[in-house]
This record gives sequence, C-alpha cells and structure tokens, in this order.
Amino acid sequence: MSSSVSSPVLSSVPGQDDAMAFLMQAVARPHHAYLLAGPEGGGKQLAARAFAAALLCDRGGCGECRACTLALEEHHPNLFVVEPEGRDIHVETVREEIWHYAYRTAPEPGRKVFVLREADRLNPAAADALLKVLEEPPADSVFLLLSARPHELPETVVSRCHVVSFRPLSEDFIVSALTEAGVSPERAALAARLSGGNLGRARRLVTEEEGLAFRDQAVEALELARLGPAGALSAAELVVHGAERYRKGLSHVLDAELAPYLDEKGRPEEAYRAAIRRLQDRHKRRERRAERDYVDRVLLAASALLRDRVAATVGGGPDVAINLDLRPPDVPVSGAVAAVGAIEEARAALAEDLNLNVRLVLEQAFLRVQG
Amino acid sequence: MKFRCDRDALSEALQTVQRAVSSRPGIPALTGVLLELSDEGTLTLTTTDLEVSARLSIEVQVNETGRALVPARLLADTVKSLSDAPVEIEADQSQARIRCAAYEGALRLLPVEDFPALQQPSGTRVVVEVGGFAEAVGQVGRAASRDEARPVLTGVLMEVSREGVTFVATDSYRLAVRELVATAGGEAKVIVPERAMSEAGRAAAAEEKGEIEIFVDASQVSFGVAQLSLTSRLIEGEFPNFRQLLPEAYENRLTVSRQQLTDAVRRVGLLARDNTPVRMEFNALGVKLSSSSPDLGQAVEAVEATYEGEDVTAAFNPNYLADGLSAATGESVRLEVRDGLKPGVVKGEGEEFTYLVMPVKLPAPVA
Repeated sequence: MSSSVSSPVLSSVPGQDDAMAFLMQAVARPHHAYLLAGPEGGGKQLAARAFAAALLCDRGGCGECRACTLALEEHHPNLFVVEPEGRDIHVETVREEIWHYAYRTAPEPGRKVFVLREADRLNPAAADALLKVLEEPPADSVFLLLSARPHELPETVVSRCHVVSFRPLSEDFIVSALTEAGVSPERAALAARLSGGNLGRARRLVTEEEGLAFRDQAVEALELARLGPAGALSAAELVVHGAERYRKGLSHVLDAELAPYLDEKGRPEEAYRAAIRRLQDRHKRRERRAERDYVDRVLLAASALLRDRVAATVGGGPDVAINLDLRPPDVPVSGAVAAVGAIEEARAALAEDLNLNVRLVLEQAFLRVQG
Repeated sequence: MKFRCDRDALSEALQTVQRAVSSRPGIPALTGVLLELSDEGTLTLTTTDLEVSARLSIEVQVNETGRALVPARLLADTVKSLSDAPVEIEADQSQARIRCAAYEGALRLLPVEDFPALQQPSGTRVVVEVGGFAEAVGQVGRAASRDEARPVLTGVLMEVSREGVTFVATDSYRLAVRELVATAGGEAKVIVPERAMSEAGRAAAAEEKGEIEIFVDASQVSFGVAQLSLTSRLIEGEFPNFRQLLPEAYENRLTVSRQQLTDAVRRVGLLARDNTPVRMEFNALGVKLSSSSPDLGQAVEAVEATYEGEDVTAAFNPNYLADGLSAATGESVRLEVRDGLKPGVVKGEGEEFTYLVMPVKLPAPVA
C-alpha cells in the first residue's frame, strides 16, 4: 500500500485499500470536506472514525494514544457526529451541532472533525446551511459526509467535497474475515455469497440464531409466487410480515439503551428527556433500516436461488452454486432468468429510494416471477 | 481518592459547577463532575459542556489524593439531600462511596480519561471591579443575537486596551456598547459566547466587592471570581465594525425621566404587535408615543420632557427601545434622533454606555 504517512489506525481498516490509501495521503494536509460514498456495510463508518482519529492524533493516527482511543469511540471532545433525527437531518441540527461548534475555537487544542452520517438525509434547508459552512470553511475544521446514496446529495454540496469511493467488499475478503473469526469455511463461503458485499450482514448471517431464516422465507416466497398472481401477493405479504417481525425483535435494544436514563419506576428522568428522545429517534431509524435490510436479504436470497437454477441448467456444477447446501427451486429456466431481473430491479429500487412502499415493490417483483 | 468535608460547602460547590454540565450527553463524560484532590487540602470540581467549563476549589480534609469523574447531577442531588453532617467521599477505580451520618451510597464512575483536557487560563490579563463587570454584562448581553445563522452576533465582543475594556453586542437591530475601566496587561479582541458572558456576570453579581480576573488568549477566555473560574471557547469570525455604526452627535436630543419613558414605551408598545412599531413624535413639549394594530386597537401617550432640536417623527420596535432604556443607568436618560431613517441613540447619565436602536420605516402618508 502506498502511503506518505504511516497511520496504523487507518491501515487497520480492512477491505477498502484504495479508499484508505487515499485517506492516508490526506492526513498530513487534509482538504476541508470529504464525501465517503459507497454501499451500506462496506466500512464507511469504521473508516470515518479511523480518519477522525488520524486527524486528531498528534502522530497521524497511532491507534494507541488518548486522542485515537476517544475518536474511535466517538467520544473525542473535538469530534462532532451528526445523524438523522427521525427521517431527516434538520436545519436546526446543522445550526446547533455543526455551525455552533464550527465557528468556535476547538474544545481541545487542534482540529475539529465533523461527521455527518447518512448525509443524503439532509433536507434542503439543512443542506443549504451546511453548504454555507463548506463554502467558507472555518480554520482547522474537517467535514466527513457519509452516504450510501451520494446522488441524492445536492451537487453544490458534493462539488465541495473530495469524494472517496467505497466498494462492496469482495467475497474473498468477507470469507477470510469470517474464517479468522472462527467460522467454518463452508459457512463463511455461504454467508459471503449471500451478504452482497456487506460484512456486517455476513457476520449476522453466521452468528445470529435466525441468520438463515430469511433464506427459508425466500424459498417459501418463490414457491408461492409460482402459483399465480394470488400467490405472488401472498409472497409479498409473507416477506413484509417477516420484516415486521424482525423489526419488533429489535425493541429490546432500545430498552437496554434507555435503562440508565429511567428512574426506579421506569419513568424517564427529567434531566434526560432530550437524551431519551434522541435514542428513540435513533431506534426508529434503526428499525426502519432493519426492515429494509431484512427485505433486501430475502430478495438477495431469492435471486441467488433462481440464479442457481439457471446455473444448474446450463451445466454448472456445485462449485458455481451460491446456495451450496440447497437444491435449486423448481422453476422453468426462462422464467428464472426473467425473475432474477425482476428481483434485482426491486432490490435496486429499494436501495435507491427510502420512501418507496415496500409491499408494492415486492408485489410487482413476485408477479413477474411466475412469468 | 478520599476526603471529608462539610455538606453545605460541597453542596453549594456542586450546584455552582453544575451550570456548566452538558444537557445533551453525546459524550457521557460530559455529564460528570471531575473531582481532584491536591496535597494542599483542596478539592477542585470541574465541569464542561465543551463550550463553557467551570472550575471551583474548596477546602476539604484530604485523606488520599487522586481524581475521579462522578455523574454530576446524581452527586449534586445526593449531597443536597444528605443530613447536616460531615460528608466523606472515597473513590476507587470503579465507584465513589458517599458516607454521611447513617447513609452510605456508591455511584458508578465515568471514564476519567474521556474528560476533555482543559487548558489553564493564559494570555492577556485584565482586572476589573466585580460590580462594574456585572453591570456591563447586564447592559450589553441582551443585545446579542439568539440566531445561530450569524454566529459572530451571538457573542459579546470584548476589546481590551490599556485604558480599559469595551463590551459590544448587536443583533443588527440594536447595538449596545459599554466602556469599563480596567487594569490590562496588553491588548486583545475576542468574541465571547453570550451564555459564557452572562454566567460570568452572574458569578460577579454574587460577590459584593472585589475583582474579577480575566485572561484572554487566541482560543479561550477565562473569568476568575473568588474561588470560581469560568472558561469559555471563543467565537471565530469578524465582528462588525461597531465604531463605524456609532453616529456623530445628533442635533436633536430628548432628555427625560428614564422610568417615565420606559414605562410609556412598554405601555403603548402593548398594542404594537408583530413588528408594528411605536411611533414617536418629538417636539418642544416632549414626545408623543402612539401605536396601532388593525386587529387590536390603538394607544397614545404624551411624555413631558426637555427637547432640543427640530420636530422629528421616528418609529421604533418598543421592546428593543425599552431594553435600551432599562439598560441605561441614572434617573434621566438621553434619546438622540436624527430623522425617521437613522438609528436612535440612548445614553444614560454617563458617557460609558451607548445603545443604538434601528428605526422602523414608517409608511408614507396616504394623502
């Protein structure tokens, strides 16, 4: 890896060599704004924390000092993290949490680093407000915008950032990451195939008890879809339901997070009302994402099953199959080819636009499966 | 770390520093109060919300030196509720034990290394008398903007020279300037967040006499009053050139009882809603105030006063004008006007305070 500075904290971010090499070059003389763009689960957040540590550390990211440790935990006083509250990043959030600190001297000597997660969720007024800071960047401030949908950011904002592209992680990388963590090579290979380049998802596939349940659901949904239009609608229903169940399963996370802020009777402590609201907002967002994530996993699995069917017909052996442990579904090959297309379109549409009605998109896709 | 002290002293100290505890705990360490014990028998309490930090020392009986970061609100509430007996606090790596009379409690500690590293006060030293400082802060603070859209205007400009300190604030509708005699070790010019300024003013107001010691450098300002030290980050940017805005002396001058004019402006102003101004007609008898809102009604009041100059009509936002009148000091106040388009100038009996208020343009007569 070519680099002008040695930065252990940046080198430790795996699977994104090009992006990290770029950031490493940037540490010594950083530009004032970067857009870390790439699909979910590719390591953007990890990279942003590491880059922040490198910018705040006296030695360019040794990974060991107080500044590095605090930055990696997002607890450094000079590191300001903003994320959507509810659906959007609002203009008040930009004013109170970015402007306010951007135009003040740093809490500790050195740079200030601002991280905007899901920057594409900036609403128009908030984007304008951010733009003003990017146009006249305050001294010693670095802005890191993270986005899986960079095309939804206003061009005016993007044009003021250096764009750092994150790719979906390679299958080999995910396999080795999982096997290093003690997962058997077979399971690792399966998880890597099914994860679509998302390491977090691959980890959940192998560690969570119901990690592969979504694939059973994909099998079931495809079988339903084959039965005709009524079956296609039931298939969509099935997946929507599954996603909802999965989301509800997450509520214990919030309960655990809220516990420290509740009094002995389980009521919010007066002084922490604001903190609780933020946690609840964050949780809502996580739930939304979990729902989407679940649907995407089912679709990806369905697409993989269909693909296996096509591969088997054209004489591909088990080495090219994705579902190494399952027999391909019983669908006519011509139909399977069309269905893969339909499902991939649905996945792309859902990844692109958070406002789509999931049920409608699914129904449309499954109606084309029987085709 | 272990010490023993009087409950009231500790409780009072905790209440004081608690004002700088962050209400938005993004970083858990900011919800804590840092307790540090020195060999000399002092306990130093520190809190910060990244903008303002408060540091206060009290005398205690030190058994073992050390430091610990304790949840501030919980500790303050606990100590406040203890019975009136000596309090003993002992902290190890993970918790702080509190003992008082028959009570014993243990609070889980926050990670002390997460607490921001605060810099010692340094730079240009300025010393002013507490009363004057508290008064100055009260006079200019209210003119500062609350709108984060223009960060520099949310602060108070502090201009230090050998002769003294000038405090300035403006929200672009009014401008308040206060000169204060001070002993200064050099020159400096910084913009202090209004909240930090008013916290320092409040601390100064609590002292009957004495001095406040201010240190200004490029990144922070700190105010030392008695045992308390308040340190604030600075607002970066260029403050408007306020001297350019101060007009040369006007020809038209109203000299009037401060109380009478303030009351009249407030009264007549009640019927001036939503940006409708109070209209002021200046003439040899004094000034006639009037206001009207189509949906509410109208009011008129004449205030007798000494007026030198030509007859002039001007209109002002009643709240902004009343703010300036009540910020001035002395029995009588001077209000200088040029015409309906230039700012009005409020001055108290001395020359040290000047308050500018932008006029509201009156619609041209329909006739």
